[in-house]
Amino acid sequence: MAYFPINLRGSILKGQELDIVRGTLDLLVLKTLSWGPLHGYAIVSAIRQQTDRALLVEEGALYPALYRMESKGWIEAEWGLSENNRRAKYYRLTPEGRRHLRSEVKTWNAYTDAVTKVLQATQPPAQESS
Amino acid sequence: MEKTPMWRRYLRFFGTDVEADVEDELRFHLDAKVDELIAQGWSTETARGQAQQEFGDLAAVRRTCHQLRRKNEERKNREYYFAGWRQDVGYGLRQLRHRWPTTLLAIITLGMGVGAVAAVFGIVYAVILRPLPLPDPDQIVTIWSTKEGRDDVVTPRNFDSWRRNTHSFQRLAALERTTATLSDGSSTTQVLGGEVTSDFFSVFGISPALGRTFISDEDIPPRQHLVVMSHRLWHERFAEDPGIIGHRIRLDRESYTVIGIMPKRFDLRPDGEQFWIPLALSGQEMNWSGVLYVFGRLQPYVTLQQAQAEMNVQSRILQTRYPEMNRGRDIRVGEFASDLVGEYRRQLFILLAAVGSVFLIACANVANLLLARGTGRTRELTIRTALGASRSRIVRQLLTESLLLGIFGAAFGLVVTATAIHVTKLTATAVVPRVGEVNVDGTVLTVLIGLAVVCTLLSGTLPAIRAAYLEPQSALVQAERSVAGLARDRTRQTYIAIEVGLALVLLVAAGLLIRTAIAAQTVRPGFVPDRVVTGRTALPSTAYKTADQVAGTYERILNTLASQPGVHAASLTSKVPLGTSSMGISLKPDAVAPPLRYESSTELQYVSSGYFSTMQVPLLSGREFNAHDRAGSIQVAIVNQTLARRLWPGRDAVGQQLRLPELDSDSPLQQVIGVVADVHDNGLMAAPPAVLYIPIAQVPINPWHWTEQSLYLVARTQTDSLATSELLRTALQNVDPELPLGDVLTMDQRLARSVSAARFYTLLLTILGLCGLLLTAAGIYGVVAYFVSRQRAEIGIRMALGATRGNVVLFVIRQGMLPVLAGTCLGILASLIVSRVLAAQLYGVDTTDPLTFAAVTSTLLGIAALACYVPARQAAKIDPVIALRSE
Repeated sequence: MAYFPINLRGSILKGQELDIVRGTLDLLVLKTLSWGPLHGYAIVSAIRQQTDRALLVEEGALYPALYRMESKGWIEAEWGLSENNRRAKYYRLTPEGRRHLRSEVKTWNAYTDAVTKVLQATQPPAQESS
Repeated sequence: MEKTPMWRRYLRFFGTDVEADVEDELRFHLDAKVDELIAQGWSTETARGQAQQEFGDLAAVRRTCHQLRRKNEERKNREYYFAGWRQDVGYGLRQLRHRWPTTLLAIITLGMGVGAVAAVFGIVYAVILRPLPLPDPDQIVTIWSTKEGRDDVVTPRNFDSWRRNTHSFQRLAALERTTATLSDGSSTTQVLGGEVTSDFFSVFGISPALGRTFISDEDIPPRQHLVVMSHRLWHERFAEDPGIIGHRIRLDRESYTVIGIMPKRFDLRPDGEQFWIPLALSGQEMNWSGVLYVFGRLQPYVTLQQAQAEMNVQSRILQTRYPEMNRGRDIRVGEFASDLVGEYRRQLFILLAAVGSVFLIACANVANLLLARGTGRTRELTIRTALGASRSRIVRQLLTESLLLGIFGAAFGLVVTATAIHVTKLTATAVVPRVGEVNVDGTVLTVLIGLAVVCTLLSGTLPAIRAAYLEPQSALVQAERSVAGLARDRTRQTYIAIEVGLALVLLVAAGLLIRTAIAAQTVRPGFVPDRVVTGRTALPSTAYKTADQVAGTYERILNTLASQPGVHAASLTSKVPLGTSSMGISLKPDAVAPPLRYESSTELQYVSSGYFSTMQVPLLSGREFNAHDRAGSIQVAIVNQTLARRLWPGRDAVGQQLRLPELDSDSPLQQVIGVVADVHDNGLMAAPPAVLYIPIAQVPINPWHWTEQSLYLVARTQTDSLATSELLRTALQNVDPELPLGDVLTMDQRLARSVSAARFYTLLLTILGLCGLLLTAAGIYGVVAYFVSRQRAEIGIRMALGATRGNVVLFVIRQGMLPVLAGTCLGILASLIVSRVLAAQLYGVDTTDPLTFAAVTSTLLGIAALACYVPARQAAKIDPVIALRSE
């Protein structure tokens, strides 16, 4: 998974809310599921809550992402009953998904560190000697 | 949300409805959203609109989701299915290992059965079934002039007439077998070749590997000195030198220009021709008797039957036009491929049938083993059924085990096949045409694996289905109390009866062949083979032109040979007993008194003085030829017993007279001066032919031509070590250093060789018969032992009620022997029918030979009784108290 800021999901930018880049969505979903099994709607709500509504998960995009991750074996789905007794599909992190999450978090941190370094630079880059 | 959902597993139980699934999930999402919005104070209508808007393009998402879900579902099903198989295989392997004695027995039984079948099939396939490596091989035919039902070579006149007056063939070509002396400086050997008409090669549709073959008009006299070589000769004598084309080689002291080399695939038989020169039939040679082998290529869309019909008409025309040549003769059109294989065809098919019987016995054994195992596992399977395993799942499990068994059996069978084929190639390549082409190839492998799998699936299906339809409740209750119910098992008894029947047929066939071999052992060949060496030479007609020259040179050779140190006796003959030479002459003697026109053919053999004493053929009356029987003196002849009895029944043959019109049109009267005992010329198992002997000095020039002016040198030495080719070669070289020597063998070797093919065949059938007997015994033992193990309780009760051990033994043996007896009766009936097929291979024994039948039946019954007795004794040792308690 690569974090290139292209391929924006969804076409409507709403005010200050940032659209979520593909790949980042997977990461967020995996992280959210690491707390325990959730159904799709709960995942969206949890992300929204934890980002203080800064990040907008386009809800429609969630399901294809879930199915893809299921086929990759990172998450498992099973039907269950929701808190208000409706039939809902619950997703759960598999051990493989957990491993994947750990490595992705590491990659993400390295990436943001690098970007941060550039953005916080106070001097122009030195000429590279060849 | 925190509440743990109830994980339901119904996804795994019923297939999923992908679309409804996606729909449900998306609807739940929207409903939850709407609920949340309403909780925040939105009205129902606006909340729904807002929810959909925040969701995005619902239709597009739904579509994508459907696709993804469906793909996921397929993958999951696949994985689940394979995981099931993996589980079955793992479980099956554990089961097989757990019951390893049965498993091993089944694998060995199966491997032997399948391996034997595949090996013999491989041989039959290579020798008979595989098409010849020639274009449209089924259009190639051989045409024979038959006499008394036997194929015979064709006269040039008839061939010429067929070629001009028939329409069924695209081409007709003739070959006259010839032997030439090939000398290339260092060595001189005799090589078999053919004189052929120019379209010979186009009949076979084969073009040369190098150079060219003959073109039309090259077979018109005078003979052109051109030669086409076989690949074998080119390989053996010229090291595959391509530069040989256009060069001259010396054949019979004349030089021939090499114009072409045939490809390797044209070496069709181990003893086939190695070179071809043009056949130039002059007017005089047209009157020769049969010398030609005729081959033809059928017109497209003309069948063998149509060609045969046309030739039948030809035969009648020729009988009226050339009566003296064609009386009593018919014409047979045969498929070239089957004529090439000849008598081996029938033998190989019998062998295949025998091997098939062994295979069926093996199958029945494996089936019995699996059946016993299936029954032994009733408890396990019923528990699984009770726990919810479906019937199809249990059947699949059992079939997987069978399949595993089949694969292991095939692996073992492959070892058996490879070994058998290797051994066959070592022993039979020189005897049977095309055996060299046998290989463990794709066809053989397919047959091997196919048979193994089919066998195990067939024998595994019945027990599997039976297991699947057990009533769990009653089976669980009865499993350990099965007494008569399961043991009185018709299926098993049927298998045993079939096995016994098949084994009996096999053993009868083997027994009859063994009796034949014994009969052949006691046949006295008619000569004494010890310390006799024979070898053939030929005087080239270019250097030795007249009959006097030939006879004179041979007399010098004989004298030189006789004077060699260590030679006890020496002589010359046109034909050695049990020889493979095709240079026989048969003709029709006319006895003068009474003047019978005897239609039967008689073999003509010309011998030097001292031949009968050298070979130690007993002289029954009259005298042998001696040095006074010369060209000018009175014409004399000696007949053998068979001919004497035929021509002058009840009278003394010595002093009678006969004429040989076929040998010489104005044949002088021949005076019979002696009668000798019969010699088995054509093999020990063939009746001795009628033979007429004439002295070498009195042979006219025509028969010399027919036999390439060749004779066999015969020397009986004082010690064994002297009887070698060197002895003969020295004698020849003292007379003419360029004379060839070929076909050198001692008479002991000829004797051994003449029976080797039959012996090999007998050995094979005997091994197969013993295999069948062994497998059957193992099968009987297995089933009876199984009966005993299931009937411990019943036997215990019987003993508790006062049955003696003897009673128990009899009880068990009776149970085992009943199907054996039934099988024996069936087997005897089947043998009476089947043994007729063997008639052609038998000698000195009837197809319904009572001794063989009695011996085989008693052997089989004895072995079967033994196989029953061993478990019966164990049954008798059962302690009733323990048996009853354990049940």
